[in-house]
Amino acid sequence: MTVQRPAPALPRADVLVDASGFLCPMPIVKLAQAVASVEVGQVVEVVATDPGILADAPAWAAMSGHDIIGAWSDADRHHFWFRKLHA
Amino acid sequence: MTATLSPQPAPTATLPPPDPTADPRADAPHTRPTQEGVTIVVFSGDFDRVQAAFNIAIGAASSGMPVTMFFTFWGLDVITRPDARRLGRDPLRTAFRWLKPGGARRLPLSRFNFLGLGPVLMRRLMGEFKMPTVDEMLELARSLGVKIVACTITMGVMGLGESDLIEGVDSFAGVATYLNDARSRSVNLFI
Repeated sequence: MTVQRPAPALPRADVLVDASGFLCPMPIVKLAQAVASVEVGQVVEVVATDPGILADAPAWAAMSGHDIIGAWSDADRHHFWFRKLHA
Repeated sequence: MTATLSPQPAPTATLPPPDPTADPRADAPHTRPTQEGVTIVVFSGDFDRVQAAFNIAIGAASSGMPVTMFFTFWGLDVITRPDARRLGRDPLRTAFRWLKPGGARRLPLSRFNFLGLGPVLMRRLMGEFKMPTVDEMLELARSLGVKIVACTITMGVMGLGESDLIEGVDSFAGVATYLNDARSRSVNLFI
């Protein structure tokens, strides 16, 4: 049996952060460093295998004031796209 | 005893509609505005507890909050140089320095320490999970701008001078400094 995944319309990222295999708090640290390094309006994609990211990504967005513009999980790889809203 | 209750005044003017973005605590007289930010008193020198303290500090600093960590009592072990002098000003403090030499890599576990075997095994496990160890977290925290404060009173008790602590301690201070930071921050922890 084949599993059909709907092809999601995923945002285009300017910077990709691969935090696969890293545990809390490292995905957030790597994400924050990447967002700090890009220009306002650019998009950072973070990939993490720690399931804590599912709760931590929205929480980090709320604290830091940046926007989540997309989320997608492929098995145990969780992708989030953040748009930098301020310097 | 009698108590008289003044009657509730009838509303005379229509109030402006509430601002949904306003902080509901903002006009309560017993609260003062808090700055988003974190203080952590690191009292414990246990490897696992200190790990949790750094985890929170690093997470907060990565979220754009100012963070201050106050190291006191056993927590001073974390910021003691591994090669700190063992000679105190008196025999008691010298004995103390020999029994508790300090250093971020020498911290015991709060449970299952097994005379130092526990932390070795824990470090290996954490390495498999790509978790930074306490000394790496200390460096990371400092690179993220976490303020490191050492408590001078317990430094004196334990026979530690400023030169026995790692470089880059932001200030040597007491309880008033802690409280002055903590009163304006929204997250204050004691670990």
